[in-house]
Amino acid sequence: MTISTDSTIQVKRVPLVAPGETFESVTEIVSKPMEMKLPSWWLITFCVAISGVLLLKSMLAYLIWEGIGIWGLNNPVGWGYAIVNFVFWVGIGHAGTLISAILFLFRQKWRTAINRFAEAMTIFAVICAGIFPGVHIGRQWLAYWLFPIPNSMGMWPNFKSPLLWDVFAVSTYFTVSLMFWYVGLVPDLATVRDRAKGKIRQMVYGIFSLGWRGSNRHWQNYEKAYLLLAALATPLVLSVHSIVSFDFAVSQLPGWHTTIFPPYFVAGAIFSGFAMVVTLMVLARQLFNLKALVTIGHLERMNQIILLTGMLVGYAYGMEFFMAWYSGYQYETFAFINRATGPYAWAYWIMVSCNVISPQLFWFKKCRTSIPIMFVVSIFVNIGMWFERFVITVTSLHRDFLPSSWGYYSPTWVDVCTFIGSFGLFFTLFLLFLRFLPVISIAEIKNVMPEADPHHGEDH
Amino acid sequence: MNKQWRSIEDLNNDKQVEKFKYREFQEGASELNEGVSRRDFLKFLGSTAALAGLSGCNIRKPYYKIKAYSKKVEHSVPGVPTFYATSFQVNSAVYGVLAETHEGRPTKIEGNPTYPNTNGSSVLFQQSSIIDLYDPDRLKGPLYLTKNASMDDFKDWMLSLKKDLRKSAGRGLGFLLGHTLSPSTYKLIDSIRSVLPRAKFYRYEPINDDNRRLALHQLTGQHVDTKFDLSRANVVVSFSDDFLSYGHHQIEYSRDFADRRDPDNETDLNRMYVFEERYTVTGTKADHHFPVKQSDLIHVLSQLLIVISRKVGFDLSRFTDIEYQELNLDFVDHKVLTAVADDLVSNRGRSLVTVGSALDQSAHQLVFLLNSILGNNFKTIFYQKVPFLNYDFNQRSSIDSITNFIDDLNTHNLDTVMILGGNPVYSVPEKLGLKRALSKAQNRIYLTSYDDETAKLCNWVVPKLHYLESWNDLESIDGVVSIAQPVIRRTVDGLSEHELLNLVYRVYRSDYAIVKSSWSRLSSLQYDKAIHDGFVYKKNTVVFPSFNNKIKVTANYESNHNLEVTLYSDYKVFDGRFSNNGWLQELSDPIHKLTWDNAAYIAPKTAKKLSLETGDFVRLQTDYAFLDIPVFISPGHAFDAISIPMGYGKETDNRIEQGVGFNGFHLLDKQGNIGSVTLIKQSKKHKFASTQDHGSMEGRPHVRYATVSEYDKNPTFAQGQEEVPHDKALWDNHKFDTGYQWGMVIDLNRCLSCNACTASCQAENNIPIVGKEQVLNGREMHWNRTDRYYEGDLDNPKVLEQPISCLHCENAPCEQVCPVAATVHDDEGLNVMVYNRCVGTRYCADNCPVKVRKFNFFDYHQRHPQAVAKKKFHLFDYVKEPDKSLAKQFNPDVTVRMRGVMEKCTYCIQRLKAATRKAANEQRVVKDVDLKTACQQACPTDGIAFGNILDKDSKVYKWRKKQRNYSILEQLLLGARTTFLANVFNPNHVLVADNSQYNKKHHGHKLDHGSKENHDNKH
Repeated sequence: MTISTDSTIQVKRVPLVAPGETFESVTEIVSKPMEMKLPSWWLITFCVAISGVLLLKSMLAYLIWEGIGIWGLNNPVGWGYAIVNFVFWVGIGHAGTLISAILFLFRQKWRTAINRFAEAMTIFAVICAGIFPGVHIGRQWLAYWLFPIPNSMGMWPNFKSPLLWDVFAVSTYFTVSLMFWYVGLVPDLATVRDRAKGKIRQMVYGIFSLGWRGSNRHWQNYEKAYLLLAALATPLVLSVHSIVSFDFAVSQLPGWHTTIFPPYFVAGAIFSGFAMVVTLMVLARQLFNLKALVTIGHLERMNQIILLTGMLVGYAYGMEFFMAWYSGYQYETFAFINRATGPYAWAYWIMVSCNVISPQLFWFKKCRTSIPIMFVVSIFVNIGMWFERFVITVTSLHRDFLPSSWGYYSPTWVDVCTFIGSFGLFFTLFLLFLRFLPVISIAEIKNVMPEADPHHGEDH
Repeated sequence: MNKQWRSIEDLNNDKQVEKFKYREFQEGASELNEGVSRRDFLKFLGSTAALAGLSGCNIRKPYYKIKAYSKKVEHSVPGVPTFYATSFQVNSAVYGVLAETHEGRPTKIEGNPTYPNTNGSSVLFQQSSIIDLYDPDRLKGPLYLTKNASMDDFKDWMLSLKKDLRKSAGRGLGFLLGHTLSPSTYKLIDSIRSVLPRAKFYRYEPINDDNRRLALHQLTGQHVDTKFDLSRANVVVSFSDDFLSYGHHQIEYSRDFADRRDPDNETDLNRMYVFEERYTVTGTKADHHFPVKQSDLIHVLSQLLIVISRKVGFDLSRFTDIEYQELNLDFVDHKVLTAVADDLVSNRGRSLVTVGSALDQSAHQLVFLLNSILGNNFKTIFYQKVPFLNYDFNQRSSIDSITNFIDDLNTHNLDTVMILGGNPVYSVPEKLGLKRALSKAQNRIYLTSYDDETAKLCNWVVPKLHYLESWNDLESIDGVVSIAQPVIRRTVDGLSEHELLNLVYRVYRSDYAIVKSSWSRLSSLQYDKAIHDGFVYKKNTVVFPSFNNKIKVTANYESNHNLEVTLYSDYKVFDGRFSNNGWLQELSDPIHKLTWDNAAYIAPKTAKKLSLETGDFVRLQTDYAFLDIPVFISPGHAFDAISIPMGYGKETDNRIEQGVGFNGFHLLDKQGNIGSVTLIKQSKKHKFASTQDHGSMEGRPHVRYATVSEYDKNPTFAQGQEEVPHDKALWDNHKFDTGYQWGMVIDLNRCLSCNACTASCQAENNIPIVGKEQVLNGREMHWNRTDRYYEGDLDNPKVLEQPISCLHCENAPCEQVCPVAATVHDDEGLNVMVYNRCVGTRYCADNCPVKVRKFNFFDYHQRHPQAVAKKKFHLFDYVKEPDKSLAKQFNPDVTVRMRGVMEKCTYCIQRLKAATRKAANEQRVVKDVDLKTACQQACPTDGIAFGNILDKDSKVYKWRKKQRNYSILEQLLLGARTTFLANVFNPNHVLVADNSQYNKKHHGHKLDHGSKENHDNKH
């Protein structure tokens, strides 16, 4: 909004925190979920989520006891739900670091209200993702062979294999994200510690706040560390999903073997990550009454990113088809025609309508700022992005070079329950986060309030 | 009182003997499985309690000692297999084989190179026969009134029977035999007849050559059967004769035929026309295939005969009464007949016409006439005396003999029947009422391997010995006489056919004594040589029959669209005798790629007319019986016709055959034919486990082919069908230019898709079966498979076949992506799997362009359909371990892979290493003669060349240099070590323009079957 005066043009930004909030009220708002009486909805959802974890555990136990055969995989389709879920969860885990690191470096101050939340989501999503590569192998008890552990046989993993790069990429990403998240949490943990009433609470928060006292020196070190970690995490945002895409792109299977995959996967990951943040944020700000800190403006910005990345993804879909035709490569042409018209056409068109068509609503400010619409669209995007991975993984595999080996894949109940179980794990961790950690960065949000300006209240 | 004792140990109060005294069976002897006993339950309870921490050392598993040889067994070097020559009979075929044994266990069967006309190769039934020996469903001991009995009981019982029979001179005694080719059996029959002159003999075989033999007998007065010389035949016309997949001469015919299909040989390619009601293996190799209903074939033959006789000016009326008729058929018109006739006439004396044994007698007589007119008789077709035709029961047709048997039962002329062949209650037409008739005999004795339909109706069921457990002798139609030796001690308490026949008239003699006594004229040196070589001598059986009679053709041609049902012998389970063989059940049918099933095959057009889809159940209703069976759409099938493979739909409790397929024998009438059938569609659906859902090649150049004229014009037609990018590798590719570099070439022209290679690979490499449910999900484990593509017109497509196993790419896509380096390249060019290292990411399989890597999704060696459930009374019994019932068959040179591990063709690395080791010890290099892979050794057409591709003398080197040589998917720069020689067909140019089969590149026909239905069900 611009207001022109006689001589100067003064740009007035929309405030990032709703007017009327003070430092104290911000602390109160954020601390409330941790200190209030346990709400019954939390208990109920937590029970549901914990049952999901139990489901996941029992499915994995069953899997390890019986073998991969309890899944729907078969000969042409060697990868199914497990890999789809892995890429899906890694993708979700993308928004966090993007919001914290890249937006931090670009000084996008609106990120402060959502970064903690998004980072937590990242960590939990990567935990969910991390389960799948470990258990999808035939002999799960040997999963550690994927790591370069020195051994008496002198056996090393095959460094040419993208799966190995994956191991490094995802574990690095997880480590850096966790550190980044934790470092950001330290000042807030100290706040919680200071407010804590019970002995145990004081102890636990005390340990995790690493003796933070908020001294000038602390702040200086903190900010330097945070900046460095942000710089370190930034390339990871691009690398993780690029490397995940190498699992496909480095192979020579039509439909997998394309150079567009790294940027396409990164765009898709940001897309799905933001959608997941929106889904969760809409709920959390409602339930914990964070509307003053997470304003419609924040949500609108995220929706804009969803619109942008959605179109990037749509462009990639189109470009894949163009290249399939333009290359004149028979097998690739077939792979893409088969995607759109073959036995899995239903999956392809679910993907296109969810990922490309539904975000188009966000061209309209009314839709961008409407809570119900954005909630529904974000869920559509999540569904669409899961199907994108399904389409890439399964439809490419099920019909490749020799028509004689073509087949069809359908998941079993174990596949589906494992996937549902992974959501249980995600929500369990997330609910614990909501209850026991400050969901919004108190320190950072105070930074972007007008009161933080040293010249606040002074007239020019 | 003096102490009584049983043995020295007993006298000394040995603890071990003390235990034996009170224990009827030794430990480890098989005991009855009747759930968990109280004692077992307590044991289990005890061990559970032990786990709870009471005492760790109580849960130790009982242990057994493995005993080493204390004295070396003569001629046996541990780790080096010994081969024994033997032979066995399947219906009319006698197979001379070598049994490979490891430390006394037979593990694999190969063709016997010294046995005449096998060249050391083999067919499916030989390869798969080994697993029958170890089948856990085999009867272990005699059954008396379905209760377990001992062999001594049976012998005692026979003793009293013998006395009664002696008194009545064998009155009321009847033997039902199968097709019998053993000279000793006939000697025993002679002896029985001399002692018990009133005993009667009958025979029954559901699959037989009676029509041909009786027809030729009627025409010429001699008991003869045909034998082709395919190496001399330039033109072959077959009327539904599947000679490349059936009968005693299968191997010889296959090889001779394949030799004439090699465009690089000096002789010209032969040309084959096939008129048949369904696609047979022979039909797939035809240059021209014409789908014709079986009832119309005789008319096509008659008209062809007339056209030819006119061309050569032969007066038919002296020999037959056939007349010219206008035929109204879909694929056969006057032009076709003229073209075929011209071809035959211009190759007089160098052509061959044959007709399948399912066709009636007049057809066989007409073919004899036709071959006479063409001067083929005694040039390309020979007539051999059928052995043992001086026996009355062999002179009658099977159906005659069994009808007589049943009549005799019904009129109470028989009160003791001994059934020695087949499973008659299952395969004899139900309409004849064998079941009811059998109950009228007082004593029913049945020699069989399984507790089957017939066993349920017999009071004495005696286990039959496997051919690897008993002595035998056999005389084939070629006049080759062989003595078959056992290679393992009897694993069941049973009898051989000879022993049982012997018990009827005298005291027990062992099979060895019986066989030996009938060969007493051989000196012991001669006898030993005969056993060593696998055969005694070869008689000349060729005779020269001539016309005695006029040929009467009764059937008149009328164009109709009535449904016609035919039964045919299955490629895998034959007439049902192999239906409990898991390897065979899981092999894919050569034409339809079906496993674990049979179906009513119909043409796409018929399906459309009746609005049927693959998997739809139909009821086939005749006046006297009905059969509910699902249909399967088969391109190239004759219209308005249904064909059903025999041998399925058994009603037994055996692990493999139980509930598999549908019994076509139900539809047979009293004459063994199938009358007019009405079809009623039903709402039920059936799921077919096909190993290949997609039949079209989608215009991709995987199987490359040309006609001879195209090949002459452009011998390198197989090259350049794919655009190959430049190899812009960042570094120099490894040069495989020293030492041994293994490679394989498969000649597609020679492949008949007989599946012998797949079965051989299964036996050699310890490949498990997985069961129908798992095949439905595409998890079959076969390391090599034969792909079948249809091309061209849906109603009469061309069938193209391609055997595929690991290509051993020099630049293997699988190797790059394995994260743990479990699949790597060795310096001999092999793509090797390190099973121990494999963690099972399946990434290699995803990246394999030909999808030949097979993942062991479960521990298939433990949970295969033949597995015997372990008695679980000990805690450790709940921990998984492989089923051991079939473990004796395992090749000890090959790792048994566990679950979660990827596996694939190794080029039989165990054989490679054995050969290279041996050569290195002898300080020379390996040559072709030293080494054969399992698939190569089995291949009856020599269609696989394997060896060192750097060795200029090797066959594989020469084949790789051929212009027809190509590698599939060469655009991926795989550097595949397995390459293919492209197909060359030899169609008649007159017919090419019309024949949709050669109107090339009708791509894009979606010949989907099975898959679509499955998809819909799965959603």
